[in-house]
Amino acid sequence: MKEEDLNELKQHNMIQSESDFKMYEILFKSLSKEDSEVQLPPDFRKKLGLALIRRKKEERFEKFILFAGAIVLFFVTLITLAVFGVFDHFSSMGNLQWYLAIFFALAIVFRKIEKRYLRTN
Amino acid sequence: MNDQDIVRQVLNGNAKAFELLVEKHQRLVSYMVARIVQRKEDHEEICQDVFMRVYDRLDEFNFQSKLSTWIGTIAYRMSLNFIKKKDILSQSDDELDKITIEISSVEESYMREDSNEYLNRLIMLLPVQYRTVLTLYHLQEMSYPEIVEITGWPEGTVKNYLFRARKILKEKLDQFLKKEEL
Repeated sequence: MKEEDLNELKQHNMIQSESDFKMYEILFKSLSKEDSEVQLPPDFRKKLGLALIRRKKEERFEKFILFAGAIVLFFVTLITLAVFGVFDHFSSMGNLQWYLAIFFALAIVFRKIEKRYLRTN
Repeated sequence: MNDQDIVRQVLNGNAKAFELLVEKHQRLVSYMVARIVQRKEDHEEICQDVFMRVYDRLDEFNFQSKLSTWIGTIAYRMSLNFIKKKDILSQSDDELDKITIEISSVEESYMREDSNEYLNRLIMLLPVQYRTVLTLYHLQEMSYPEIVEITGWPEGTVKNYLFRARKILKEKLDQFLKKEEL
């Protein structure tokens, strides 16, 4: 028992006799002893390392799926736009501006997805 | 290697540094989780989750407190969340007064054990607030401000819980040793 603990106990009237003092001394000693039932298994760190590696792999896979999805969406929309453009013969400047607007909107959305979910650093 | 170096190395992707961090703090996490959650089958899994959270959030650690205090806070909160989810709610201050009676009703079954074993079992029967402060103060040798930081309770409350817990344990230990002598 530390000096300050003893003083605190005295201040709070917890020690009124010699037996109180002895009992608190035993208690303090016991309270700071290790409890063997609380120990983690010796391979805990190894298991933790494996769990971290497994989680990293899962995260990488999820990112890959998201990235692949975004790429597919991007190119499907781009091809659709191009096909429409060909059929429409880019007939008027008004339509061309719409194509460009959609293309840039798509590029911005794609960039946002990349920044939010795919960038690692 | 000090805490700052360890954190920096872990953030740079050094796996060995993280292993060292776990080695240094696994006792703290293990006791915090065990004393709050109690269920042995969940103990290791929660400890693992705590260290994963530490790994994920290490870049948010700003060195304004000790690394052990920061990790202790994570372990404390995750353990509390676990028991809240499982509906093992902690007792209010009024309910804490009744704890002596609850302990008295079960103590007979542990009378044949040695005093340390008996004491550990008694601790596990105490309310979560008492178990937490006893563990942090006596086993982890944390100061009152550090316990305040981890639990979020005012210093007066921490002291109050500590004194009440010790008083209950001291009385029970006293009775136990007297019976042993007979």
